[in-house]
Amino acid sequence: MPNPRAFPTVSREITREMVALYGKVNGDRNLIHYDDAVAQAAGFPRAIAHGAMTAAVISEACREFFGPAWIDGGRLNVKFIGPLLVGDTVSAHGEVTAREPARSAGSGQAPNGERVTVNVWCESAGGKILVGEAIGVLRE
Amino acid sequence: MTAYTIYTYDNVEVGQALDPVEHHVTAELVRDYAEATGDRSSWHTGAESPFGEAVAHPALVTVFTTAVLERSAKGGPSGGIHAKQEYEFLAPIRIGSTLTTRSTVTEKFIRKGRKTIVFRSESVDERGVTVARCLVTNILPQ
Repeated sequence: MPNPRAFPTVSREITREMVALYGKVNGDRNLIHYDDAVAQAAGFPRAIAHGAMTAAVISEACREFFGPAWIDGGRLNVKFIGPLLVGDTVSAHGEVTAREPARSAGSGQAPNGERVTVNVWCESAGGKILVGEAIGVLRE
Repeated sequence: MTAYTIYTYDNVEVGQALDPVEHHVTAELVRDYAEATGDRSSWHTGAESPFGEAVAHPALVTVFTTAVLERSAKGGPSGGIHAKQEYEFLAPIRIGSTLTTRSTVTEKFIRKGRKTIVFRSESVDERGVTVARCLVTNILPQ
């Protein structure tokens, strides 16, 4: 059976320092990410991470799985369904759902390998917080 | 500082082009993103990758699409919520490149009382290479 690799699980504790640095990078100064009292007023137990930090963990797992073809031709569709609380650990998971012969792969490389669809999701202590789909080429 | 539009549900229309945002992808930006996400792969932070030199994390494009609306929010009580995102990573993002992200509103609707806009973005580097296309569904500050 070709490419029997399993989709890797990537787990990461998201600290306050990481959330603060992410806010510096993306310019999001919304206090819900930094101030527990503001987050509590909005109904959360404490400050919440930036949603895209969860997508970043999925993308990292996809890069581990697909290799360079993820950076050059990957597709990621995600839906944010729950908050990631600061200090919690997020884990990215995936399950291959479809494989077909690749037609093309990113910016101009010869098509080879398989086009693979992966159901992806992220979990934290509160359950699933992100669901989606990743599509990329898995080279032989 | 360049003036920019403050976007609200009422002042955006389907088909409208939003102000472009520009990002210079410095090695420092990529290192900060690596530390912030915990993804310190040497492909992004080292000297080389399968593309020759190190390249940015593809998901760095989420930073560019966030900026499209976020700079309107000014750190208010809520800068909005990302509901859904779809990304196509079309080419490696070179360190040292300058990316311009242009966006067009494709939908706006109120669902369960939540004001939502959907926009499509394309990020192009200074050589004219499209590095990513995105479709972002954002719930606006209420």
